Amino acid sequence: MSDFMNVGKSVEKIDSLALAVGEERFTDDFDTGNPLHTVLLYSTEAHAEIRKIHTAAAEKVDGVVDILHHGNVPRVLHTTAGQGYPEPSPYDRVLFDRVVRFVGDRVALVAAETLEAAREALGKIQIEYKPLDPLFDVEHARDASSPRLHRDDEHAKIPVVYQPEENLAAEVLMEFGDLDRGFSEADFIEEHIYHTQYISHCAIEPHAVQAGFDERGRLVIITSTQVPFHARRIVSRLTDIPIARIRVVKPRIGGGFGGKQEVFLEPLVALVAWRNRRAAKIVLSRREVFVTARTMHPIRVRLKTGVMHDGRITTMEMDGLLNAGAYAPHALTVLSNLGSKTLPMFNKIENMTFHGRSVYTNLPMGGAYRGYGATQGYFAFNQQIDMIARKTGQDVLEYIKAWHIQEGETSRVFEALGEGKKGVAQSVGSCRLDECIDRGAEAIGWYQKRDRHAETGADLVRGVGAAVSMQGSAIPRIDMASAYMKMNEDGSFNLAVGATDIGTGSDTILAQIAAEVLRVPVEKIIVYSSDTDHTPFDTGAYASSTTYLSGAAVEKCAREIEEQILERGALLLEADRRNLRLEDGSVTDRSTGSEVTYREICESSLYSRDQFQIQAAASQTTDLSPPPFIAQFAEVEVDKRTGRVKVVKLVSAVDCGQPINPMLAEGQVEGAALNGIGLALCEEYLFDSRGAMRNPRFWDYKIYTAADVPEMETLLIPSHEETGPFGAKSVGEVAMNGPAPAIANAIFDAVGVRMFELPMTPERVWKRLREEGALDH
Amino acid sequence: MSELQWFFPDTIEEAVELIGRDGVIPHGGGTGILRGNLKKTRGLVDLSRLPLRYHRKRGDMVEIGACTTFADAAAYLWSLDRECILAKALGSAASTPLRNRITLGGSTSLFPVWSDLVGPLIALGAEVELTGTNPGLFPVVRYVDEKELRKGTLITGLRFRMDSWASFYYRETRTFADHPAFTLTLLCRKKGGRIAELRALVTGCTGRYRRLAQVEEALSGVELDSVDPREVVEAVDVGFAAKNFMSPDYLKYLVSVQVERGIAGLMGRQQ
Amino acid sequence: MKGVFNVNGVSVEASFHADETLLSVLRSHSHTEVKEGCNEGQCGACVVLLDGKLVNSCQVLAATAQDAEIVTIKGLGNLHEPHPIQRAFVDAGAVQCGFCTPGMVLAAYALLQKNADPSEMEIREALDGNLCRCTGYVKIVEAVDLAARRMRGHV
Repeated sequence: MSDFMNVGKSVEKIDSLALAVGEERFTDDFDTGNPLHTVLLYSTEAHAEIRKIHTAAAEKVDGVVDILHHGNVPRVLHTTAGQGYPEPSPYDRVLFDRVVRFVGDRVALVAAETLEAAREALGKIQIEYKPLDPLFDVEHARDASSPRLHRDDEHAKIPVVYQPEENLAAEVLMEFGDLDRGFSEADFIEEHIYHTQYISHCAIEPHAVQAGFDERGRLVIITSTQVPFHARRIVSRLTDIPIARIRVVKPRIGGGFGGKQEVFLEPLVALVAWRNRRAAKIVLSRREVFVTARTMHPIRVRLKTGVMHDGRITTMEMDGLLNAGAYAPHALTVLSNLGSKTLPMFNKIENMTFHGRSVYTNLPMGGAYRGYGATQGYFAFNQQIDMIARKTGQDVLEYIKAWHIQEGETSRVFEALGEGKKGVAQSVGSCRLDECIDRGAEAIGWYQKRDRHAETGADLVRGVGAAVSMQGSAIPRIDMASAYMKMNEDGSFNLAVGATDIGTGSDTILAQIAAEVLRVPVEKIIVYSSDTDHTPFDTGAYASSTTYLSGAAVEKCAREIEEQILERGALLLEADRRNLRLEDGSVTDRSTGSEVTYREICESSLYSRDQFQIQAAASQTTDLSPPPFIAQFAEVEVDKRTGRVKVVKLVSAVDCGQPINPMLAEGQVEGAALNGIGLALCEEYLFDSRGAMRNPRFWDYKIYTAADVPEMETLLIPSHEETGPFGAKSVGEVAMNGPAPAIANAIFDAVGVRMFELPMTPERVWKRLREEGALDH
Repeated sequence: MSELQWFFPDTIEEAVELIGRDGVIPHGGGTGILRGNLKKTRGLVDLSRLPLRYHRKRGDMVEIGACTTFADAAAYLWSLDRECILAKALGSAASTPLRNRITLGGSTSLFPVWSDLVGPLIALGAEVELTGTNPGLFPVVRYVDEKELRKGTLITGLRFRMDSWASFYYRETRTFADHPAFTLTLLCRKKGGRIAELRALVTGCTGRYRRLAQVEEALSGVELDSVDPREVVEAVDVGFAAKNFMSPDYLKYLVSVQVERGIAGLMGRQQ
Repeated sequence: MKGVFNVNGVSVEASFHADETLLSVLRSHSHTEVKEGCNEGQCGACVVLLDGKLVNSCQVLAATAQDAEIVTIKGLGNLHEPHPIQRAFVDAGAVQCGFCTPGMVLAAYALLQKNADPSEMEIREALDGNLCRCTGYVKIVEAVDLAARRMRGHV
């Protein structure tokens, strides 16, 4: 198992040099030959009917070529969520509507020869609004007296609860056991309400799309996307351009994190291009990304636990209220994952209910965000566990080790809670969480620092906190990945995958997997990915699916190539196929020692006799979604007088199965962990009374720079996941989940106050300290 | 917007004449201009060819040209005296690349509410050198307070006396590279076991800045050993606008805490 | 208006608007290696060296950059001869999506020109104008340290 040639090695990411010297191209770096520049006009009202749109003055601006709005664009209901068809997100969106539902909703589009002309025309479009009552309060969204946001022909595509007449975008209910009896028989009850906030992905590259035509008039869309195949399908549906006439290409992407798992710009740009027989493009400004793209769904979680004196949780009720915003992409699935990724962690709970609702409000839209509901769930779960452990007089780490799901075990939640349909029963095949906890505890100095309230200055006190979480690896029975490979006569191979490298390095990982099977150095694998014309299908970069699922497809494909090489080798060596094996670019006969090189094999197969192209294609789905596990630890220093929290150190100990590329795996953990700290302490959307975002710029929405980062230690604790390629699971999301609860637990350890609301800004901590009387003035 | 005209004067006189024209504004580093909009601007006068990037010390008077960047000024001042409050303030403002563009003259004339520059300048009793309608040397505090003084003038330089102040500078930020919700400047001169003089100034509050005169009075002449920072903060009287990201009450409270800590630090007491 | 810009040692003739930024002029004249992330001087993806100083090109009005020496990431090295800093970024795993990388490398370059042996804090502070969402900055800081050591001949 550990005699790997490429797997488990920190091989150089195949595009990193080209990126470091500025050669690689991102969407807006391509020259599509004088494209039309496209800009969008957004609503200034949170909720209104559009009475009239006056475009006459705008049309007269020199250079304006096209203006789109609800009057001249067909009304096709869809979801922008980049998910497999039929999507589990409701079809509640059209390209341009006569109702606007948040400040930032789309009203019109201008395409012009220059950006200046487009903007000038945009400024000349007059909209007459009839304002409607806005809805901002999630807790009252379903009240009969609240305004209705969706009411015409919006519908869900799959049989799920969808009641727009109540502003209900999704509802999920899972229960087993007897909740009431469980609570009545419990020795004590712990019940708390937790709130998470809106945050933005802040991928440094804003969303961008270019659409042009090839020599034969086919539409070629270059886009900053996580989901090229979903993009092609949705563009076709919304524009009536046949799929056969559309090619979607994903170039280098400047980060996604879920924010580009949406198809909301491509159809517009495609429409402009197609209508005008001209290339067209759009690049969002940072402000537009904040307000009009997607966000992490704010979720209110009420968690009620029935506990026995020894700490055993017999009964758990999780009640989630998710703010979908004005439209509901991912509102069902993030809601489902709130429960399905969190609740299996303590799998011995006999009585359990998960009740989640997603509701519409006249606020920016949520979407896929790294963690996908697990983050919000674990903020609640890990604090509750911390409280219960303390109350029952035990070390929380020992407590977690005693009760978490173990290798070989299952949870009823796996089968009960899917994504819009029943889930899939599974057992945990690999779990090194205990070792993650032990190694992480050692790295943070847990036993030296816990419960010490160590003072490092007159007003500074330290504490440590922990959090555990699990995620998944691909969506069972829904995701599909495929790969195509062919051999070249120098012993190199082309590998074409639909899988989408959004900066994660998946091209490299997949090359490593192929190279491992074929026993060649990674440089011999020529990767081409995410082009709907030239690569086979892949659902895309989400659900932490790439290593586990796309990797399995690549392994499967490479094994077929291996077979063909061995067969030709047997022919050339006149040997028994069973004595042959691949080794370092040759086929060797174990019994005689004779060998033939890949070059000889391929030249023979291409040119000499019984010629054929050594090539293979393979697809992969999965019935399982083996969870990666992580234990994260935070040491904080709290200023008791100002409430400011400084993270001194953050440790992440992760079991992602067999890391294919340790350096890249660490990179995923480090990036997600810092994002988690931002979620914990300083990122948030602030709104004015009209529902407009007050801070849609990096000036006012702060994310960390290198000067803010605490000491971060990452420990990879390998396990072996039998069902994954070379034992791998996934690592892309899970590290997002722990920092916020670990920091909250550390704050309690330091100063004895519980933080139920994110972000834990200095002022919020200060207020809690005053409430609890923990401040002397 | 394309009718905007650029001027590249070689002499200060030319620059002043241009700036006197309607809708024509000076351009130092450009960061202030790009934060606003140019709709009413008809002309931009680039000052980079003018001899305004000097920095020198004549006796104990430090003189810095208006087009000196924050980065260059901070480095120069730091080389003279690491404790210099202005070095601390300028060196922590904005971010590394922005400090290479923001000029002292531009920042003084703009005086945004998040300024890191003006608090220390006023506390130091710094002066601006102006040309144009009101040529001459003026205390920065007058330049900031009197709109009539600013009209039609160009800042050519700043100067202040480099005294042996013990200094404390604090900027309230959310992350390392953030504009401050407020800044606090404390300057203290000690003599014969007493506080000979204390200067205390907050910027970012309502009115954009506030001299903490009551704190200054309370501590003036007091024996170092009997300074009680906690008592002193009762004299802190600043207000903040509601539109900040921290509430006015909390910001006011933070100012008191930082004044207390600053004074304790200046007295050499452990924090 | 029309002007000539000196980019990576090569003269570039450009037509541009009076209020156009240097970033915009560079990108529309084949220098797409300079990225736009925010257009408000906060993310640092657009930094270039202007007469040797690290600046946000989105905060520089192009008209004022005509006499200056402008260096972009492509002026430091290329695929065949990468600059040691570029090489260090690759080797340390500091490049994920790569969008912030040109800015980070230039910021590191500006630092190492002034300070060949920076402490960890000095490295972090020199990068305080460059945002990255992928890496958590961990390997970026390691890369700059590695580059510094290599350039001093210590590795």
